[in-house]
Amino acid sequence: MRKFRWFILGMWLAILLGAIGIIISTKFESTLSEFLPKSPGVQQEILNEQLRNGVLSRKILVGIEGGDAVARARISAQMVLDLGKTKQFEFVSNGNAGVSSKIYSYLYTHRYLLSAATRPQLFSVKGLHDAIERTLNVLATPGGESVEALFPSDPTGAMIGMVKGMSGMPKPRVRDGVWVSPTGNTALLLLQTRFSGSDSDAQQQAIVTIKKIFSLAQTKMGKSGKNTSLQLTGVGVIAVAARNTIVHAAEWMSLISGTLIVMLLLFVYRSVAVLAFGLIPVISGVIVGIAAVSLGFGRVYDITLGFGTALIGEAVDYSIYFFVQAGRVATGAELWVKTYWPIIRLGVFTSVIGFASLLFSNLPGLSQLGLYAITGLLTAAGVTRFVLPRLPLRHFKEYDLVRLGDIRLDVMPMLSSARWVVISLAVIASGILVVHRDHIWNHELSALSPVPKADQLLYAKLRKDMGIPDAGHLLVVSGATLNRALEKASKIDPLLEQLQASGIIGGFQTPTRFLPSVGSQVERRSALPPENILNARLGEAVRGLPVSASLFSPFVRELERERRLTPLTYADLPASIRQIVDSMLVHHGQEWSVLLPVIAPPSGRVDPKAVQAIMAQHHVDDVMFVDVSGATNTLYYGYIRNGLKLSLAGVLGIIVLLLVVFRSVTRVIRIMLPLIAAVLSVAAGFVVMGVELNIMNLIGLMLIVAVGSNYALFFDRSGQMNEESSSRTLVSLVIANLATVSGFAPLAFSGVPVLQAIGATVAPGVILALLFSASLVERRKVIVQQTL
Amino acid sequence: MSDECRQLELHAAITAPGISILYPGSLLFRRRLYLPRRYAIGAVLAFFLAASLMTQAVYAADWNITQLMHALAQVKSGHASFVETKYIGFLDKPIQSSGNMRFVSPDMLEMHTIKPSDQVMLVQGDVLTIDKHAIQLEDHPELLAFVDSIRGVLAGNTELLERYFTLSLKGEENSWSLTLVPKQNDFAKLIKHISVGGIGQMVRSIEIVKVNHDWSLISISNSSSP
Repeated sequence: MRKFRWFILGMWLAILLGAIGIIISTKFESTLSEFLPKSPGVQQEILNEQLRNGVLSRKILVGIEGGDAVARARISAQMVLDLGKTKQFEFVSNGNAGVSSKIYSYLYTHRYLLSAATRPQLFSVKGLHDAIERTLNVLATPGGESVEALFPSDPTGAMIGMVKGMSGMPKPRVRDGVWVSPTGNTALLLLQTRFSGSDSDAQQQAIVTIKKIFSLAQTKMGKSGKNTSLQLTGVGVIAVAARNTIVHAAEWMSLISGTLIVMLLLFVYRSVAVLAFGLIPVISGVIVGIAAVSLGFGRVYDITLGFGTALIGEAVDYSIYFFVQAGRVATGAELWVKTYWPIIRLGVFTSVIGFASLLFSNLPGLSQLGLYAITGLLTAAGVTRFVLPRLPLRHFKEYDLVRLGDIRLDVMPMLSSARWVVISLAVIASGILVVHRDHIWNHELSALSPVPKADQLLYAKLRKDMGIPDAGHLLVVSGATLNRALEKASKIDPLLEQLQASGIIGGFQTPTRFLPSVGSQVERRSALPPENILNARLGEAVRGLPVSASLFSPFVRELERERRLTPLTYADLPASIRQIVDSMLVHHGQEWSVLLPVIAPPSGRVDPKAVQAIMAQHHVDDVMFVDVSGATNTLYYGYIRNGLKLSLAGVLGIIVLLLVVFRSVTRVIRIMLPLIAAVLSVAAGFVVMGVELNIMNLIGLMLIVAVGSNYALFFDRSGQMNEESSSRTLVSLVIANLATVSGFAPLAFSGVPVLQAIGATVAPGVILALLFSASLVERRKVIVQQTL
Repeated sequence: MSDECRQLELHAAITAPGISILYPGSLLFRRRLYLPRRYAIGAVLAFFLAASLMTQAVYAADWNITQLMHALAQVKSGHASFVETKYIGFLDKPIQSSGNMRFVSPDMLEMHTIKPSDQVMLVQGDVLTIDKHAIQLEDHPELLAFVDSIRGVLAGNTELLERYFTLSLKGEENSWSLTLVPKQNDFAKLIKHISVGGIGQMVRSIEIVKVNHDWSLISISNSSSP
């Protein structure tokens, strides 16, 4: 062990320092979408882009609750005033600052360029006559007075048509001059940050600003503002909250499990120095693991750290094996390397094969986890093998472990007679899983979300109150330029109107209502007759109608003005219009996509076939119909399947490795059976309790195999050891098992869904794996033990 | 311009045409129109005013708002046909629409216009729906005031009416006229007064006179109580 001592220690330190150097310059990222797939197709890419950096991700929905309606309205108004002064938001509104009147006057001043009804026929004598008559009929009908003031300047009803088209657009209610929820109990504000929702630090700052401004407004209100409270939600807000929750939970859980493990190890080792040495492999593993992820992916997700550290918790076991099995270090280390290291090495390889399946996952988050766990484990094992024996460990006082070892003599026969229990458990568990095979996996993306249910619900509620439609159905058209994409969208608009008229859809939104393509604008502009011609035609057109042409001089003036307008471009849009248009545009790579959200009819379901049929009928073939929730869920279902395939491949890989090493089918079966039985039992347990498994549970199940394989391998070899070694082995396994359970069990109570899933899977799983492995030890060996 | 601006905003708030029964002020009223008609109205009004003063003196003791309201409240539902004639300043001739209306006490009112075009306007509770486009009346206080003036009369709800209007009653039980003058500022800017005429417990006409001198008359006939 003295050989190469300084060389190896020096190399180890150099690697650690290098890794720390890499970590210092690493970018740590926290976004909500890291468990979204990498590039599963154009549709998903568009949705991801929209979720990551799109306008939706920049929206913050604010609710003010409590107090009375007047207090809420005044706080709302004050907040809009103060938030507008900060530079963090590009859009702030509570419905008060005349947003709708700004939208209205934009539509009004460009009505003939924006209206799809602008065609040459409309401005013929007959066209004008018919249009004026139609508008007069609207005027005559009860309620028609609302168009009275418009009549002289818009007798053809261009505004009526446009506003009618938009009437399907949901919008929040207004009370006391501000937006409120349908119940009226919450005042609503809509903000849009300048920074993308995935920029969590900027979002965090925005949240702090909003909270500060709210409490200022609250204080200003005095008594009546006292009982009001603030609600914040939005993609960015949720991402920040999720990050904070996860970081908090991860901190707490590492503290709790760390304390438990340290206490356990102190109890076993009875030496702080040994404890410190015992943690060296894990810490080295963590450091090198993070550095490897940083090198491999260019950045490290916060969540990887949280989960990954739990994953390589297995590495704590290595030093436990080393210290407990090696016994007196002076002579033990070399013996350990000979007797036990091959078993551990094999255990490490089985775990690595298991984690390798994560590496190939199409979720960037999961492949990071895989890389982290693999490099972490290899490093920890290597450090245990090469560095630990070369460290000056003179303080290790061997605790009398024989007493613990004796228990084996009583327990082992009992366990080994329980082998049929294990086998029947495995059979029963398989039976349960087969019966419930359709309900094992949760196919909803939200199951994976690190966002607590309450936050998801608040987001859904305020979104609904604000009238931001659920991501239901979208039509997507793309083009090389924004104008090209808008041109395509304008071809779809009339088809969607048909669908709306026939009740297949309830309505739709399109950016072309606010920003038509340059082509359509030019075409419409050329349809507008010059002043003198229009005047002449109007004179003829009003014959037989109860109006005189002179009434329409505002109309003639306006038309002439619009005839001279240059076509509107994206850059001309005022902020309130731009934010509407932006929410329907995605710029990705070299392409622009226009999203046309489709509102469901009263039946609540849009028939995709009917929509696709009418598109095909009119030879519009480059349009995508996306069922957003369906698409994301199908996609998630896709990577649950992918994950399952990879896990099965991992298990197969482990079996092949063992077959190659042992060249004995029965031996491999004996090693694998308890692990598979443990996995099946845990999965069946979840199913029986009515919990559907998600991808995190799947990772947990794989961890059971990864950690459990060490137990199974040790039990497999224990027959060939003498009694002392055997009892040492058993003791080390029990302690390692306790350490793993202490590491994972607290996660089950963390309150973060994903962490809970891992904890609740691994903790019971590794206990079962240990018990099952013990009971499947070859009977002959137990008999030998007993006769000794 | 401010009126027009307000009109725009109202429009935007409602975002569906023809939803507002609110009568927003228009600067486009042309005084040159309707002069003969207005003189005629003046004469008729003067005549009725004199007559009503006399009848009021005679019947004041036993016919009052409380009694009228009580009588109206007895009618729980009814349907009738209506003809609405609008006299708009900038038009050479009045324009007309007609259809059926239905009322179910206390707050359901439906106007189904057949001519000149088919349209169903339904007020139920706080929600006004025109051809499936719904708006919340509470979000539009002026609109609510108008709707409640009609509902209040049809349901005989004095309390509701007095929330928005000062009431005065003329005529006798068999030919009465209830005038509502708006109290509320926003509403008073647009509506001068609303006069409801009737026979016994039947409402026969609703006349709305706007501040800008536009006015409209809804005549109701064939009223029956099923």
